Amino acid sequence: MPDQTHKSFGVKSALLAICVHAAIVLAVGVNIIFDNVLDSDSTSTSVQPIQARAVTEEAINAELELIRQREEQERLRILDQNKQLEQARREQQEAEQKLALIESRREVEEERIQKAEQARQTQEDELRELENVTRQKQENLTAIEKEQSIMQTALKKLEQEKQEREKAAEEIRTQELASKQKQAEELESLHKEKARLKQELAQLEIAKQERLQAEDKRQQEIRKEKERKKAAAKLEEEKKEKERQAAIEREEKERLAAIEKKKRQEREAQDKKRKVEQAKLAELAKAQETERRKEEEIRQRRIAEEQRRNKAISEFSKYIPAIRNKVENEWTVLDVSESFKTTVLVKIDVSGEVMSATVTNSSGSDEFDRSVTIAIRKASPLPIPPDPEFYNYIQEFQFSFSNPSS
Amino acid sequence: MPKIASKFLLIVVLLLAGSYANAVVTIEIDQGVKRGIPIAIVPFGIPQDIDEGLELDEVIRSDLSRTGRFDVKKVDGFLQTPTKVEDVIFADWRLIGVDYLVIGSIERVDEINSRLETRLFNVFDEKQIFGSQFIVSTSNDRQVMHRIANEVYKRVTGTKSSFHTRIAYSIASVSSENKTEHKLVVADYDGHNATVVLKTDNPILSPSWSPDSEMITYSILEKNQSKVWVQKISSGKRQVVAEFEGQNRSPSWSPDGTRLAFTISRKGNSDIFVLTLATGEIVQLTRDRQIDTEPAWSPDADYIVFTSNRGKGAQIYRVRANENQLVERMTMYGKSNSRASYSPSGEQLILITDQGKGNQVGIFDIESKSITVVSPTSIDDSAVYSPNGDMLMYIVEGRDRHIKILSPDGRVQSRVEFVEGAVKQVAWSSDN
Amino acid sequence: MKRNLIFIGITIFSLVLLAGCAKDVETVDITTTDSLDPSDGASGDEVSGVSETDDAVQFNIDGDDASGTGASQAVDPLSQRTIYFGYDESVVSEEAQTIIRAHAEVLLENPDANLEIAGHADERGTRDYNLALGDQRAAAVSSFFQEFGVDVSRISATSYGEENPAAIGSDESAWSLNRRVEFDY
Repeated sequence: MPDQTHKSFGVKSALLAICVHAAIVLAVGVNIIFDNVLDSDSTSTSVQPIQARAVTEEAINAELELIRQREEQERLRILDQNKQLEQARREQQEAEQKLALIESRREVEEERIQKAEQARQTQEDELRELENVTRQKQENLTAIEKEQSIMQTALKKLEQEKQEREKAAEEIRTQELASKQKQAEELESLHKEKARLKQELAQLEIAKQERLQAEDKRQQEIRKEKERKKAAAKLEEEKKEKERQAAIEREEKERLAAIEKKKRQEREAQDKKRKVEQAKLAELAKAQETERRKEEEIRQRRIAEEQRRNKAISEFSKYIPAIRNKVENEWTVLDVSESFKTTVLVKIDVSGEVMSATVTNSSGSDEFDRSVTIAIRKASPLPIPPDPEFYNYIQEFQFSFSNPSS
Repeated sequence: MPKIASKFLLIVVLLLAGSYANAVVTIEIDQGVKRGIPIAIVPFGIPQDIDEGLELDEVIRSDLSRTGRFDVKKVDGFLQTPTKVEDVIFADWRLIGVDYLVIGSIERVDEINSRLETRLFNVFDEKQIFGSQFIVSTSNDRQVMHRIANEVYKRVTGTKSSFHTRIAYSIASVSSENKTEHKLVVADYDGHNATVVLKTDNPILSPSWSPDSEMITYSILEKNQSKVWVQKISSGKRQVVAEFEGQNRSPSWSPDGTRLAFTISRKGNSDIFVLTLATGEIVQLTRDRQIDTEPAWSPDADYIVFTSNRGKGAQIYRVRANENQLVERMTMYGKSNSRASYSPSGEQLILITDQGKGNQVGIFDIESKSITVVSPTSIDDSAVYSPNGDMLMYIVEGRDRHIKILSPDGRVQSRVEFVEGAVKQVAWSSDN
Repeated sequence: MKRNLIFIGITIFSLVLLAGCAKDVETVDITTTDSLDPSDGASGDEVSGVSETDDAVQFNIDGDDASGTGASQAVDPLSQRTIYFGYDESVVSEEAQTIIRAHAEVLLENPDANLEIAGHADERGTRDYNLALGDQRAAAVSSFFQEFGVDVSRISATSYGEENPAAIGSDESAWSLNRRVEFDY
């Protein structure tokens, strides 16, 4: 039964719609969470200020040499630090490369989506082709049976249906577009993150510069104040410096760990997103396939229906002369000089019994109209095909009476 | 889920459309059968204290039958005899093959008058087509029946009938003194209510009604000279309107009532003249040396048809009444054709034709020039159309002279009653 | 005229036929001329034409009873004051002319007498046409009287059409007697 098919079809499409919507909601949710993580990370990258402190003069001279050596060591350490920075930069580049990789993967995915899009377009083309074929069929049918205007109506309905299907496809496309847009937004946030990292690097650079400058200044001060303060200050400085370096190192490590974590999360999100995307595409293809099958089914049913109707009509047509004959025999013509024409719509039951005879186009003469309806009534039951199949298609028809020109 | 709903709807519409697709199958009917329309006129319901009126409904039956347009069913075949609407079982009437049904009932109003209520039904849609009330007394009962018959006829056939009209006829009868008497009689078209309006010793010929049906013109054949008279029916007053030298005969009243066409015969030569009644002036329309007589006007008064033997034997000619008096021969076939007069439509002539089987009533179609014999008899004279063309009337001569009414196709014949004497000629009044 | 030749032939034939039994033949001409008249071009199975011929023979026998003095009339035209005609005709036969001539001579001898002529027709044909036909027949007889010298002022002619038939009946025997002109003086 067509109704059931339609109901199940409807349920399927409803489920599909739910799935798609759920996927989208999920993707958006993940995105938001991810964004929040990134935001909380970025707040913990501030640099601690450097504090100088005065020390006792006794140890200064004794330790000048040692300070120099430490200075040397410090220089080496700074160099080392520079190297570490370099490495951080390199890691940064690597991260960038990874981002690029993600991006290229995304491109591949986009391509895939495009391909899916193309596939869908091809499907649409096929649909259009089907439409063309149907139209041609329609033309043929019109040529064969002009009076069967319903055929056109049916085709119109089919077109409408197709339009609806197209609308559905359009909706899916719009959803896709929306998801794509969301991906683009995610990408943009990644870009933003990259920019932020760059800014942080620049800040680190600045901090380093500042630190170097401060060091120079202090050394100059130490040199200026000569020996007294040098040793203690240097000791203190050493300590502080150590602590500071340790802090920097820690910070650096934490930051890198955070970056790494973020990248991992990003990758995971990408994976998830891709999976959702693929699921969506699969679902879409499946929906389209169902649609196509449904359409074909309708078409087949319509053709079958048409064939049944044509058969019924041609069967009925064979009885028209008999009907005409019977009505003519029952029609007592009025002897009038005017020429009259009356159209009567007749409804019959399955046995040919006239249920009603209604004047739809009056001759203008009540008497003439009446003579006509009485004739039809008297001719009841009208001769009809023995197979009641005709009644599915012909329950009413009309008579056009015109008086014999005499 | 509007999408599902719309899809579902679409399919339903598609399926429905299939069954409506062939509402346009049209069957053309342009042939029918020419026969009487089956009608039943149920005897009217009458209170027991009224004994008259038993045959009143029979007047309607006779009227409708005479035209040949109705198949009036016999009362003894009825399954029921309802007199009120609520008693009518339409299925019973369909069963006996009736299309239309007339019922009626009479109630006494006072000593003289009764009220008649009558209705016409379409038996198939079971609807009343008309209903009306009349006050009936013995003096007008037949007139009322004729009116009802007129109404039924009009509502069923769409055309007018002439049941409520009169005729005038001239007769000769032998008096108690064994003397021949000539009379002019006016009666209902069916012969009832006959009144002698003129009694003379000389033959009364060619009666013709004025268009208002209030006067009659005729010719009286006197020994020395025939004259044309005009008589008012209501008063009986009459006067000579044409006594020109020769014999003044065959008057025919013009459709507008102002003129008479008539014949003057001098030295054996008859010609057609037109007399203007107001002035007494005459205009001669024909001038040949043979017989031209029996003039009759066309309904539009453009032509006067007449009988002439200017060719071999009597044939019908026509002359323009107003302009150039051009004469054309109309009838081409038959041993003889005479005494033509126009049908109300002006498209046919009714005439007396001899097609080799004696004198018969013929209908001459002006356009096709063909003549159709419609009378079953062959000693016929004085044929006329009823004012609405629904009947024909003529006189059968011979031993049993009488006036016959014919349906226009000749199928139905009936005899005009109460015609006592040797009827000569008949004229049918206008419908008013 | 051809018709006259036929008439004479038939008259002679009739005279020969009737010589033995001395029967009257006066009206034979009426029906024979009628039946031989080809004017209408009517079809071969023309019923009335055939019956008229039969009637003509019959009438010869019947006519004997209708006019008892027939034999003397054949000898004396003055005893005959009726002229008979063919159907729808007003042609005066030669024999009728003989009768008219005889009466004209009497009238000429009696100048005070006035002549009254009345035309008649049989019941066939319409009444008004028959009146006109009676006029025509009366006028035809009148013209012969005038030709034989009777002054027109002494003659009055009228028509009764089919109103005053001489014989009652709807067959040729009656009709032939009714298609006539009667004169008196």
